[in-house]
Amino acid sequence: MDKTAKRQYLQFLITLGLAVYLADKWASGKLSYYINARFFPLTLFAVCALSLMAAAGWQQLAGKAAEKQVEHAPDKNILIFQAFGLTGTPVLLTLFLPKTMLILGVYVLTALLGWLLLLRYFHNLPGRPAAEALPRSALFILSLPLIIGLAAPEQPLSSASLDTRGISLNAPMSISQQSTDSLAVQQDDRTILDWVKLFNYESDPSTHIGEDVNVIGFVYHDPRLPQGEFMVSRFIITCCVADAFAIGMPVDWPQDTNFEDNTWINVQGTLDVTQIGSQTVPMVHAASIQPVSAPEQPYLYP
Amino acid sequence: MIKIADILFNKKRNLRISLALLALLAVFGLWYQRDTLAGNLSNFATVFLGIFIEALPFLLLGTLASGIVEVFLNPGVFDCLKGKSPLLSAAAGSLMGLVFPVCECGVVPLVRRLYKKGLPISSGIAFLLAAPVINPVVIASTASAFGFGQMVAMRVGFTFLVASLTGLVFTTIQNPSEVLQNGGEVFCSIEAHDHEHGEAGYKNLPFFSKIQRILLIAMDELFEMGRYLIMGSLLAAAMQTFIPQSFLLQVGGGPVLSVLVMISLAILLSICSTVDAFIALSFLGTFTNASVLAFLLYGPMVDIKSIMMFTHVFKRKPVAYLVILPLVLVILITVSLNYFWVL
Repeated sequence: MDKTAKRQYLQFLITLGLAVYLADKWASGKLSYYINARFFPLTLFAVCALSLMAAAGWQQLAGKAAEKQVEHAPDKNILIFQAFGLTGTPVLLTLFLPKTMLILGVYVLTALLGWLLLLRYFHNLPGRPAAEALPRSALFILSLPLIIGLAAPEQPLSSASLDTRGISLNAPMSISQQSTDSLAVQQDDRTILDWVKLFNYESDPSTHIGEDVNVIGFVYHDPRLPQGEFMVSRFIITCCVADAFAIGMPVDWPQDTNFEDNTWINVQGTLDVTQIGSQTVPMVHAASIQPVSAPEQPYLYP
Repeated sequence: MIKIADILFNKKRNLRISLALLALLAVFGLWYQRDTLAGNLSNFATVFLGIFIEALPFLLLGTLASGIVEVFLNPGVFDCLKGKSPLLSAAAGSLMGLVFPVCECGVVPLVRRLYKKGLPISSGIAFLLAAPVINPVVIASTASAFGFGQMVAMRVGFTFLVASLTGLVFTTIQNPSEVLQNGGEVFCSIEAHDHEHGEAGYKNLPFFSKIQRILLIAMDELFEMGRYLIMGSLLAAAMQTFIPQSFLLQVGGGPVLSVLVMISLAILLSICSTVDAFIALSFLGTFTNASVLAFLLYGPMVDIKSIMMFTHVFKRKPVAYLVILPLVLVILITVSLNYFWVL
């Protein structure tokens, strides 16, 4: 097979791979580790666009192969069938069977099948000038997200990033209706974000002292806090994890069990007020703390 | 002298050098933070994938739009803009985003394609800078973050001003090959061996083949432009993981410094213009309104990923103009707002 065709085949594979990767992230719910749920439809659009591109790419390859060997030329409908079969199957499978190993298997099988089909038609295709071939760097760089995505553990942002991001005592301000609505959230359902907002917006937050608090978050030992206190925190993302910032409430836990940073906990207790620097912030007198598994949506959306 | 310039600006080698520098930066960062290495590495991957997954659909929209322009738009379509007063064609370019709603990832491939169809240079430059803000989606998202008022009006108005002025600077250039890399030739693996279809030849294709052409053009452009998006995302993720943000925030007092800090944040964070208004909100308490406006004005025009894409499409002098002119204008506008008019 000539160089141009080889690179077109790789381009087809990478495009299909990106579609499958994104579809898998969406189907397994792990997409929420990376972007705000608001943008999931856009990712689905990307999956569709990428699979259609891969289909068109396959059709171009197979069609060209067929032109060169007229006697073996499959008719056009078969080509279209092949194109959508080869690209659609893994993507559809991903959407319905979110199991990474299985999907990887189907994907590799598709790649091999495509390669064999091409060899069948392509083995003595005359070479075209190399200048037309896609640059090698493009193929390499476009496969980086796939490589990093498969090699790196699927994890939401962890407290390790607080060293560079810091922890914020302010809720994101917004004039939009949606955001001020959350002041009306029932006390039992209030998240860390709702409590922090309450303290930012209300003129006299001390009226809330003594109310029951029940929040989930991860542990972060803020150096500003005294011994026996730590932060229960969440990351807030507006768009994607690139804009994440953490907010937190100090937890007063007299038992002082040593929770490690980044442990997910459910804190129940009563609300109190404390000062960090010059700022009044809500804090929790914990009555009980239970380690829990990380929630499916690890971040809160403002 | 020319030889020195050739040595200095060898594109292929510069790409390699910047890749090597990136690797070096990464290695240094890893060594510097080796204690928290494991956590940081997985955070780096998460942030990189986050930026990539978020930006990819927008880049795809841009490349698909570019494919549609290539296949369905006739080459003479922009003749009406030629020969008009330079002011008018730059202003028209600034407002074209209302017709082609793309953000800063998608606008670069689209602009190159529009040049191929005969768009005047000044209109294209104005479009490139203004489209990420002056389009329905971004105006709506800014309004939903800040309310429909002063901030939206100033964002749209000043973007229009800055983009049109920068476009005007390019008025004297008539031939696209003076500003574009490779004389504006677009890499495409399909056109080269389909000469019979040529420039205006898409008309005669059946509809299904037209769609296939659009998809193939979009895929080629995804690979061409995606390179810069991915390298930009890697760089942005590395900076976010290894450089404390509080460092910038601590610097940030004062009418001039706060503007500079917000502009550097806009460049570093590389957030898509469709959502940057929500991010900007969270800075309102810490910074003056005018410096938040600087973030909203400059971020969509220039950031790490778009600079990388610019260098692929434009020659280096136009890229320098594209980065520096808006920078100076935005600083002038927002610093004087800081001094003379408190929002």
